[in-house]
Amino acid sequence: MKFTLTEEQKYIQKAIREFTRGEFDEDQILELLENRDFPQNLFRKACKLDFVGVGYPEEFGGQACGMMEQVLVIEEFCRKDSSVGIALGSADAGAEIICAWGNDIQKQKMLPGLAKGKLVSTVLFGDVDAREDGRPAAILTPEGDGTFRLNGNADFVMNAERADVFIVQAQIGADAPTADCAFALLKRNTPGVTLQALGEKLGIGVIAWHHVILQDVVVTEADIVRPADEGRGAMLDFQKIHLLRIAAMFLGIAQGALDMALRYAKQRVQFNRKIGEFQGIRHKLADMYMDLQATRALVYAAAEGHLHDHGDLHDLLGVKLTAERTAMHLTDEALQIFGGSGYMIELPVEHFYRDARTLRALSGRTVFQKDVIAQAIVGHLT
Amino acid sequence: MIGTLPEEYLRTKQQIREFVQTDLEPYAEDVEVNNRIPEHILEKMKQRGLFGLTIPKAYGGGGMSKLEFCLVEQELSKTHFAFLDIISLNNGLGSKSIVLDGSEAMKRKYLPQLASGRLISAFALTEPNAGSDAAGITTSAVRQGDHFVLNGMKHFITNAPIADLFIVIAVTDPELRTRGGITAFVVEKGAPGLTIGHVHNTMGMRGAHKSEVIFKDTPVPVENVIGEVGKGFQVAMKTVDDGRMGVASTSLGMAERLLELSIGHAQRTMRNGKPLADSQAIQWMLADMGTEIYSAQAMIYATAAKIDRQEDAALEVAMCKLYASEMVGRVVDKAMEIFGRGGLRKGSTVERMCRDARILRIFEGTAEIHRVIIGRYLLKGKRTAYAAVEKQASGQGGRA
Ligand SMILES: Cc1cc2nc3c(=O)[nH]c(=O)nc-3n(C[C@H](O)[C@H](O)[C@H](O)COP(=O)(O)OP(=O)(O)OC[C@H]3O[C@@H](n4cnc5c(N)ncnc54)[C@H](O)[C@@H]3O)c2cc1C
Repeated sequence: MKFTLTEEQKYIQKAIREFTRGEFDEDQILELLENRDFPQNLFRKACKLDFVGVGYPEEFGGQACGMMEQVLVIEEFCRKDSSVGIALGSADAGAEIICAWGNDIQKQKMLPGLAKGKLVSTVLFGDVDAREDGRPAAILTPEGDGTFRLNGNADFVMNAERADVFIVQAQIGADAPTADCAFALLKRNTPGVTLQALGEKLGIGVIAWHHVILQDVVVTEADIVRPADEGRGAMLDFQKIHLLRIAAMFLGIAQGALDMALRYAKQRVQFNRKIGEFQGIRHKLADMYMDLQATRALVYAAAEGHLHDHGDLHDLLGVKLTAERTAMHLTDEALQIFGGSGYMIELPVEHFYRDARTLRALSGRTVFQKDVIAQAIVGHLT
Repeated sequence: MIGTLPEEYLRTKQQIREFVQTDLEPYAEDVEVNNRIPEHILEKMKQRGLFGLTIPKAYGGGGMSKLEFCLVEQELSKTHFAFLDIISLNNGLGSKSIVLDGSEAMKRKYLPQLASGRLISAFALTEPNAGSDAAGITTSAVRQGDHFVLNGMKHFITNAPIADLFIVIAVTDPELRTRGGITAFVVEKGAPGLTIGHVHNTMGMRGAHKSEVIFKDTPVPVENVIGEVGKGFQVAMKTVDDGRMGVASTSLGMAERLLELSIGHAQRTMRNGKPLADSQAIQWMLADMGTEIYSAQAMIYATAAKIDRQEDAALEVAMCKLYASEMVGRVVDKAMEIFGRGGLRKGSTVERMCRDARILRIFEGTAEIHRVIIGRYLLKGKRTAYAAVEKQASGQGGRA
């Protein structure tokens, strides 16, 4: 099945495929994973080739591409390698907040640096499992002299150690839920910012994670991004983009798993036959392909739709959950098709499996996300 | 079901449970981090006789029945997998063939030492080109006077780097293969030309070591043949069949632990002022976990009892392995959902079991091979027991 892409989208897809095929070296990646190193070299190269920040406005170092192009880029990164793909796809996490609501000074300060890889960013959400409630990570208290004090904390922050800029989801004043909603931009080494390493985790070994504590951090008005409507609507818009990016990661991981499984099934011989000749294995591959294509159609449609209207949060949650389920299924079956070799750290299919599960847990509990979807389609019944 | 277990078995189960809680579980993290079981814990396990529970009493073992041993494996699997893995070889794949088919002299020589844990064993069947198709092995054993000379390579062999004793399956007649051309041997560590190759690094099973085993002109005395020359494939398949109940019991034990942990976590974790366990979605996950665990347990106990009655249970054994290993996969998934991001942290049992449980659908016959076996069995009746896979080897493939 062919998906209709514009000439420009095809061009981007082709360029990025050449990049990942040429530059993502399996052995080097396994070494990075073993040493828990961020793929700094690949990140630099990706920036040089303008694969980071494709969605930024041109005057700020980007290419003013839409959501669809961003999805294609992230998909291809993750297809070639789940860990590196997630790392590259999230090195400028939160940039869309600056793009959407930052003023020109903030944009100038951050976007070109992020696009060139001179800066790395991360987002501090509130409790991810309460994110649907919009509970922010921190509270900004006005000091009267035009400055603010920022207090709060966020758990499981990816890339915190490496990020130059923290984009902190915050509310102005303590009285939720009517309080204004904003984002504070912080440098990592600002006084009052403390990182606590959380140690190793199941997957995505190339990115570390931390608990971040913000205590009486002084923030000036210049470092506060105020969404236009000063409300939670803006937060929702950001969440939608975030969900689409995660869906693209899952899509890429799933495609990568199918690529590996197909290659192995066509080559591995048991019982004097290629294992891809056994009907059971063929049907597994068929199921994987069906699932993948249905997911791709959904993710692409959501990305395209994003141009016209931003879609409903519950629908985008649905897109993310569908892509997540597909990635879980495909990485599981791919590992199984590799038999004992699938369990070996020397082959990438093993970390695709762990990464899919890690990304799932990081992106919030399915249970609460389904609550949001159900609320939207069933509503309150009394 | 538990109510119908003999008193004595329930006592064993309880004793192992206590041993796990007081002696093993405190070291689970140590094993995970350092990738080995501490020496003094191994010593304790040996003193408890854990290495020889299934070996007949006449040879220094515990003489346990299948059912009783399944209960032991179930309880031992509630802590780090390495503890069970190391004893499962001496109780199963590493000794069973000697118990079932070995000569009297061989039994006397090896079984007491396996039972005490003085010797650690490994079972070397799989080769790079012969996994599911075990009959496709090429490691050769050529008779030269009172010796066989072994050449070839095995891989993915559990315990190999620390083993004193290897049960090796090799080809003695390439023409006959499974119809009289495969032979099982006991090979001791230190045999000339026996080397440990690449040590495999795996997703889970830390503390349990696996590696390649290479034979280069390795002489093995004729008296080290297990059973008859040429009957090795049958010897191996009987052993593998026996070991499958171990994989099923392990799956069951791990799943039970995950359920226990999930219940605790759901009760303790608050969201919007209410425990997670108040959520119907979470309750239903726990319900599914518990139901599937019960179902696996019922299958496993019934099948083990059938084996103990000396009835043919090959079909049920395959079903237990298939069902329980897939069941624990589903339980892991739900436990991860219940634990959320905390379940990703190294040091959490859920994170570890997510990686450890994944092997259960692969080794001792993949889930797919089990479906092949069960399907053939249902269609063709009992006598094709483990011949199903063998048949594919000699059948369409056209291996002579
Ligand atoms: C950690 C670990 C420990 C192990 N320990 C031991 C040990 O101690 N001793 C030992 O001898 N072996 C051991 N093994 C080997 C293990 O038993 C094999 O890995 C397993 O039997 C599968 O073989 P394979 O890896 O070659 O996969 P393959 O046989 O190559 O299978 C690849 C895929 O093809 C499928 N497939 C194969 N044949 C068919 C068919 N006819 N129809 C449909 N699908 C099919 C499989 O199910 C799988 O999905 C171990 C393996 C691992 C990973």
